[in-house]
Amino acid sequence: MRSAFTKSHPVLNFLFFGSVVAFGMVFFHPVFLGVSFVAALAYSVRLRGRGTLRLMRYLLPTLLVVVFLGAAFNHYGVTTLFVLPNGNRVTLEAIVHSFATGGMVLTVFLWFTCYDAVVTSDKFLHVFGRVFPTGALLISMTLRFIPLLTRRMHKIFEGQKGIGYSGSKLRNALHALSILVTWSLENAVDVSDSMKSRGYGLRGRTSYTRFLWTRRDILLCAAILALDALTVAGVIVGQTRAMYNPFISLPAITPFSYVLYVGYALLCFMPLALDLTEEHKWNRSR
Amino acid sequence: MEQIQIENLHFAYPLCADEALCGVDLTVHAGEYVALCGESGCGKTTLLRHLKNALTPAGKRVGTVRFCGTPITELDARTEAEKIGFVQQDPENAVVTDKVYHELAFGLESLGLGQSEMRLRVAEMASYFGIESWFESSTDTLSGGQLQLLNLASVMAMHPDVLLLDEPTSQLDPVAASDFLATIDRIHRELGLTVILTEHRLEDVLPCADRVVVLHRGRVAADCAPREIGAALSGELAFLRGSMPSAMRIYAGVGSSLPCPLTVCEGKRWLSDTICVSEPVRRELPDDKSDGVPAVRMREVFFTYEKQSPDVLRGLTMDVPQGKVFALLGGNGAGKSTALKAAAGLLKPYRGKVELLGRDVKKIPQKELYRQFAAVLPQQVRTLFTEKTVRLELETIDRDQADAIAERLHLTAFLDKHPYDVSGGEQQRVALGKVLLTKPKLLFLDEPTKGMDSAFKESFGKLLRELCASGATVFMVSHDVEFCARVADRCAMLFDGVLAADAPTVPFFSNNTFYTTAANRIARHVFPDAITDEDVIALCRENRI
Repeated sequence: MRSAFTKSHPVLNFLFFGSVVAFGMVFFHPVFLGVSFVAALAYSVRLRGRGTLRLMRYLLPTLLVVVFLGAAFNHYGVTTLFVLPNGNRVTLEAIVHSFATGGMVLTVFLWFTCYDAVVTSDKFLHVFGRVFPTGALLISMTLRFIPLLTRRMHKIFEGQKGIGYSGSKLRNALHALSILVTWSLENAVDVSDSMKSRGYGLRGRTSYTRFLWTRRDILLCAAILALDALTVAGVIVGQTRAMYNPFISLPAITPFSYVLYVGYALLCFMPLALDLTEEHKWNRSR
Repeated sequence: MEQIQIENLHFAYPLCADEALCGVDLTVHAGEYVALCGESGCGKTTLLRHLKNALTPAGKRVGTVRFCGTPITELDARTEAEKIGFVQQDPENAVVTDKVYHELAFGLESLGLGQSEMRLRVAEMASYFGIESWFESSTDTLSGGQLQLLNLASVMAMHPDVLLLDEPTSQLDPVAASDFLATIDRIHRELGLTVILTEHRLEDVLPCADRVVVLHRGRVAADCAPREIGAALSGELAFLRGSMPSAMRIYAGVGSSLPCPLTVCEGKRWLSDTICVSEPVRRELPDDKSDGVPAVRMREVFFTYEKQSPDVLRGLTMDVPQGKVFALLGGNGAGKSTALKAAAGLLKPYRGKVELLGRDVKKIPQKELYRQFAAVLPQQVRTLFTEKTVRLELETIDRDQADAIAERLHLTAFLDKHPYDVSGGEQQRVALGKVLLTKPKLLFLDEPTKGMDSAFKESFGKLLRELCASGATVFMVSHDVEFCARVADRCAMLFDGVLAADAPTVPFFSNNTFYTTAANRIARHVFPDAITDEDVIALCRENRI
């Protein structure tokens, strides 16, 4: 998938996901929830295609279950829709509130599916390595050794099976694990030799990166920060508050509200807009 | 310029009475390519590690090693890391990070270079070594040959003056090994780097090396040009014969006053000058009819690891005769190991039939299958070791027979050691002992000679012959053409998931032009049926000028 946002600098990716996830987790206001949900769904579908649609087949029913349970067990609110046989009221407020809660979880979940597709391990390491170089190396080594050890474990099971010890019994599984540990500890000597011989432990370690700051990255980071600031201003003036108990109460809509809505939409749809613009340009240039 | 000077170096490992190095004197000039050879345990790795302070083993040490005039112990860590590069045996352990580009930059990060300098050096290395196409890959997806190349490139990125390599090809298949050594030769020729390399398979090393240093029991036994070794092979350096190129072995076995040939091409010319035959000498081949039920019978076996991926075995049909050593050869990724595992019942084919000694493998219960019926010796023998001592390893299988097998495989000397504390060749023997104690009628071996030195290979070959003589069947999968030619009764070649050839060993190799032994390639124009060095030597002696 050709994606301009995916190819941007990792710091930009992090800043974006940090913003939308943080806002996504605190906003209960239906407009903000809706904007974020639509943006997350659209971008997730663009990045992952069918994967996301398949995921929605499970997520939407889950949302409905959450709403159903919320309505069945919460009885606050002033608008009674009907009364259950046991005397409990089912209220509009409870339904809307559960719907908002479920939508919020779903939105954040969708943002994480995007995060997973955009931020690869090396991007994560790049951002992390700036702050903590040794930790970054440790993670990189862990990522190297997990598949290596998995493969070794597989070989051990096969080796043991070939002389008559199948992996099913606990005793055999423990044996296999002990082989893995002994084998890996033995190899750790080689690993440390390889690191030492390439100067590991010298003072002043740096961190290699394949990512370059471009002017666009800087501009976009600035744009995200500005939109963040605008949204935070909206929070401060109370424009993002929403109350569902005992009755639904939303802040009054002022001209500033529209500015906030548009700003928030710009923020949430930014990666998608970026991708589509770039794709359009690329198609035109052919 | 003398770059490395070793003066009267003595070294003994802790708690060891014998010295690993006893009085080594050696001078290496800048830009030389030195091949360091000798049997297992002769001290070549120990010596190599003394040339890099960070890797020098702990122990009692006398004598000095100088690098450009400075004693190596006084060299500062940064200069040493930068100027003396070291490539070790097993690339799987030498590669430490998850991405190829990160691995290339590892040493540069240690040196604390800036972004632009790192970017330049990484770019240079990636293009010099042809890494561009897998530059972004995870190191987990690379083959052994690629890993070792990456390891080399990562060392070269630091711009060393000296490159030390400790048996760099022992874990690679022959094709990858030749490629790797060709790259070393190229670095040496194009960059004028000093190369010191230890190796026990010298076929591809000797033609490139400027000098050969032979170590024997911790002493320098010879230090001369590669060609001069040839003359000494029939005399004081006879112990080295096994690891020399075929051309040299034949030369030493026949004896000649002409200069020693190093390569197949030179060997061929030398042979034409040495013997006199009017037409190719053929020999009567014994009839190879085997009756009875085959030990392994595979009929149209299909197998794939994942539902979507292409078939690894595409209708493999094969018979392994009883009481014979059968070798399955083939290139990388031809599916040899898969075929072996399918035959041994470790993998389940999705179509086709596998029978062991006339019984459908699917219908033999696991307990019976791997007890007194079939046994598999895996490539990594360590996967078999579960106990604290070698003795316990054997006794977990069969308490009564343990002593007998230890005797037979010469394990008695280290029965009370931990299986990880014995050498690679010894580990192989322990594993074989463990496997043999299950009394298999059918023994499956996956690349048994990987990492073995020539002396052990020879005794291992004998052992397989003995097993066969006692009625067992051996089915091995191997890259090692020379070993198969020497030991197997019948060979087959797997290509594209099916057998491309299947014949008794001699016709198998004499019919192939490329995929055959070096000895056969040297002599095929005169002795088409000679496939081992011994065959060629014997025929040469009969047909001398």
